Amino acid sequence: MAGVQSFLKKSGSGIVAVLFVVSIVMAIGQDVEFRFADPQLLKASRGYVELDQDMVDLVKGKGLFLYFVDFPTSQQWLIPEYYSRFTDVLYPAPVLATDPGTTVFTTEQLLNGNFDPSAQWLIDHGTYFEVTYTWHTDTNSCDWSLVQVGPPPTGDAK
Amino acid sequence: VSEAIIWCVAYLVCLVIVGYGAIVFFAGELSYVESFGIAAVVGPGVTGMILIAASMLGETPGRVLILSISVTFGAANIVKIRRLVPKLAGVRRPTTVEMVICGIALAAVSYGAFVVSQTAFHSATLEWDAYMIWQLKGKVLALHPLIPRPSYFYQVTLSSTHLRYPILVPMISAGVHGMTGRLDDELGKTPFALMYVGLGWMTYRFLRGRVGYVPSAGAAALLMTTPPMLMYAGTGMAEMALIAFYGGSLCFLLRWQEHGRTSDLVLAGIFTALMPWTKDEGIALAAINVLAVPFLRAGVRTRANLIRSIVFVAAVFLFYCPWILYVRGLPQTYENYAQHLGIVEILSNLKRLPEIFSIGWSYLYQWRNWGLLWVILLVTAGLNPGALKSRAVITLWVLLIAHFLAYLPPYMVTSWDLPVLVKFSVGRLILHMTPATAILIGLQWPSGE
Repeated sequence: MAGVQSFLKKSGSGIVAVLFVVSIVMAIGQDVEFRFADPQLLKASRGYVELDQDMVDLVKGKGLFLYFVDFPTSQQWLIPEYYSRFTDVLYPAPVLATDPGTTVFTTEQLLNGNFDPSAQWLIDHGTYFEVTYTWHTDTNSCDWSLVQVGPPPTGDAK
Repeated sequence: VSEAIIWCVAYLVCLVIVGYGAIVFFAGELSYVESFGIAAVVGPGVTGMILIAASMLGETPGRVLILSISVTFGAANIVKIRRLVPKLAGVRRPTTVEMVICGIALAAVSYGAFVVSQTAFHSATLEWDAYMIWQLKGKVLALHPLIPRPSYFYQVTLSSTHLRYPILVPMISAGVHGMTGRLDDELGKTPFALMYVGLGWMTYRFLRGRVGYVPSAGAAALLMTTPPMLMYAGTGMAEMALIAFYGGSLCFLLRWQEHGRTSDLVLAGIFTALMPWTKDEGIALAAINVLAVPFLRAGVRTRANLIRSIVFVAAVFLFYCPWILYVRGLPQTYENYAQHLGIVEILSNLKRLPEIFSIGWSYLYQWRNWGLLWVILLVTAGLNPGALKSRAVITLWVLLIAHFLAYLPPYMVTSWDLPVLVKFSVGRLILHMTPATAILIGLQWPSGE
């Protein structure tokens, strides 16, 4: 038994060293592929930075309301993505897609509460911009339009 | 180099200084170089907690506050000056083979440090959890003190940000915003790159005190280069902080088990106490540590050990109490797992276990996700059965299994679509187990002597 243990120990260090090197190569290879082989990911990273800045510059610290039109079920995952991204990027400006009293945890809640508010409602809630995202099933694409309501606010956002 | 980057780097230096100050009485004879890993992990945690305390007193994190904290902790180092570098006299020189393998490990870790830093400093915050849950809260905390409670915590339209989640990670990021003077979406992630490096160094130094160059460097490199670690460490999520605190707690619990020094138990306590403030999963991990402590030195039944264990348990619990009190009365608008974790509900959902294991296993065995990490864990155990005589190895296996079991009940009671939930979360949950796995691999690695 002691002999077997000794053999395992002696040959074992070599086996483990080889497994270690293989594992490292596999792990880093996977990471390199994930990080650098897909140009979309690299583009998305810089694209997000630019898009984020565009929205910040456009909204200038004022609030934003998001309205979603005609999103088919297969594309509804985009809705919380847009909502979350703008909420983070534009903070501390308010970003709404529902009435402020509506709990928004799931996509369903967000969709059920989403509506096209009046200009007065937007002003009352400190959201001086409304972005409408419309999904076009025929072209399988999304476009957006921006509307600014009321007099341009002068102070900080609510 | 922009002004924001300079202030951000200054913040990271402050975090390390605070870390050195926080461990000054507990690091024993460790030199500054040896204890860098501990300081780089403890520093963000302690700074974050002080900023949370200040925030509860009405202060937002700003340059003056952060610099004052770091000067105070820096001054603590004067009380006990330690060596800059470790004593090298009597240290065996590595053989050529050892140097080659350690060189590979160093190259791998350098790659990891580069890509994690690149993600933390330069990349947009792309992970949904990172920006919506953790970094958004960081911005809130940078602008508003915790008391009076900011309106954010009552905004049910932001329920998906998990309003009641613990705030240590956001507060660490809020420190970046306070230091740079602006809400910077990218730089808020940088402290976690520091913690990544700190965890690697801490793991290496812990193992180096027990095993040779190759097992220490090999295990640390395996830990630092698992694909999910490389993917998540710099993204601004809470994973990196939790893993680092958990890794630290394991290192010092094992040191306490071995030597019985109070200083090691205090450090294990600091790491453990920080875990519930980091993520809800941290509560489960802290509970496991708390349950384990009284048994770790069960062979040495002294009154002092018992008292230390009781103090450890009480301190960890009391440390978390302010947050329990703070979230009372806040809207509970997302799934509350704690409410469902009754024994009846868990038992009635036992039928879910096969599905959970099946989806989890399909993720676990893929080399794309883990390289050969799990294979090496089992192979080292098989090739070095003598290691199982070590109390440290047995302890780690027990903790690893307890950790795995602790993560099952939430999956059993969740009201979410189980396959979707498991698919999106299992990778990160398994990632939490990697510090114990890596330390085990290091301790089990056959020495060849």
